Amino acid sequence: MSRTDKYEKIERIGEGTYGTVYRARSLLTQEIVALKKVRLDDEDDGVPSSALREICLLKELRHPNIVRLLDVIHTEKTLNLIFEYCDQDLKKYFDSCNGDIDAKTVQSFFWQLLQGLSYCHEHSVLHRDLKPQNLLLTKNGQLKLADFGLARAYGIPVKCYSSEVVTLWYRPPDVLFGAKIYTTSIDIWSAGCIFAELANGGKPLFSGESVDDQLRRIFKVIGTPTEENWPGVSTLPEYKPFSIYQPTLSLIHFVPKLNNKGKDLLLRCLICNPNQRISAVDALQHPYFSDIQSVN
Amino acid sequence: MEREQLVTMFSVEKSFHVINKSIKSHSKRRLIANGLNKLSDDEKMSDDIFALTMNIFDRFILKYSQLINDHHCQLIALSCYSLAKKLRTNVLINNENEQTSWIFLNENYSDEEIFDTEQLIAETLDWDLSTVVPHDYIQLIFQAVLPNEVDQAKIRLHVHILLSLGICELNTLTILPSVLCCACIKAALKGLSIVSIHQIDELLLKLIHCKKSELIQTQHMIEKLFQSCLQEIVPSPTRRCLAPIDTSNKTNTSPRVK
Repeated sequence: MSRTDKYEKIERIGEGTYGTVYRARSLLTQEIVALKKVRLDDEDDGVPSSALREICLLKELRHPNIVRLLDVIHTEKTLNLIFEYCDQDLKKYFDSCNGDIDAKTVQSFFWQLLQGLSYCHEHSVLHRDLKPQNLLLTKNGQLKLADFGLARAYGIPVKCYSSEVVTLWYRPPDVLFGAKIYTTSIDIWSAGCIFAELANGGKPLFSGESVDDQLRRIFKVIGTPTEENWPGVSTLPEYKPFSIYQPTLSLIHFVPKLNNKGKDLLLRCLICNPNQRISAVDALQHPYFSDIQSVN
Repeated sequence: MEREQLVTMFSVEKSFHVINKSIKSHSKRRLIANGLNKLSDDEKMSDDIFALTMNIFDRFILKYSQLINDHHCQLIALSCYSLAKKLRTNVLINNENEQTSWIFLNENYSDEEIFDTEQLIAETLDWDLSTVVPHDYIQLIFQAVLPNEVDQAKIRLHVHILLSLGICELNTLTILPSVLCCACIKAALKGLSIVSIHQIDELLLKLIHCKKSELIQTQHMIEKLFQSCLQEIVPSPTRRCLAPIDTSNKTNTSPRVK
């Protein structure tokens, strides 16, 4: 049996960043897996860089809240990535829960998201594209970070354009202003947006239509940053002055169902100045999680 | 923030014990390294791309058991370069292989050959390609030990040159990237007579937790290499990365120092 014959495709379940994803079965173990198929002859550049990054980084990461890459199988025309199977993503989960997620589930999902993120950051990996579509859920309530196609090791100044990193709604103000050096804080902002979205039953917090619209929506809620509260903001490559919004309603009013500890944690994630955002490891120590019952 | 980042990077960086087979013994290694250095320079890639390319190249040569002829060796080098670019830049590759491969010889390599070789390299190294390189430390170490230094840009330029030189000439796989980076920073500071070496020694050793002897040995190696190369470059530098070091007005300048 050749290596590719080890898996039998069952059904197509979607399109990933760079290939078609199938639900498949291992013929050796009968285990259900997700098979991401990348057709190399469609590519002008050989193995796509997103697939290359995903493989290189995911091979190093083993954590219950990070999707496991089980195998990589090369054939002449395709590259097959075999992942552990998860039933749905958080976006689909939002669609199915009619705007209401109970507080314990919100807490558990955010806890698991931070666990996975903390592990990534300890291993020098930035995800850079956190959004509900990239968070997978298993039947027993486990949440796993997936789609590391934009991820990279950090500490490296990147020649990069903000439009290539992080879907607009989850993109932090520093990246929206064209910051070139990213740190772990980029993922914390996205995680904070997802936390608010969880607390609001799947309603996105900042759903901008353009970079300017996104920044305006953010500043209307948390206030426009100034040189006083964010030294250096005006020197960012794509900085432009915005009206000074004095938020009439604090951020906490946008997450009415979240308890006070949760609101405090959210405020610490969604700080414009990236240097002041809480780290994943510190967020896990926040009193909001004092009564957490771990799923892992 | 920078300290935390450094600690994380120290925990994931790797050096490799090279047993039996010497990468330096590969007759074409020097030629390949110089060619790749020039190529990444011409394409205006940052120096970390060159460092990662050579890291992947050296590790592949060590692990690959079959005989490699000259044609194949250059193909491997170009494929390593392509992999490094994919891992570290967001620049589209645009099928420029045909033009870039002229850098080595009058031989061309097809995209297909390059991509097949990329896959061979990735599989041989078990996809362990995303490694920390010395350049990743420069900014963070500067912030930690030379935060108020006015000549940062000048020192940085010299550090980059020494690193390129070291990677072209030495078996850098066996040296931890953080140690190599610090050794080059020390050598640059000494060469430019900028900061008290004693003071910088203390700061660096506190930061990277390596043995003083190891750091000094690496620094000496870099300085010795630099001295020997300096003699080679008069009157006409063949190695582009060396040109900026020469402070005399008579010698050639390379596009990098303009």
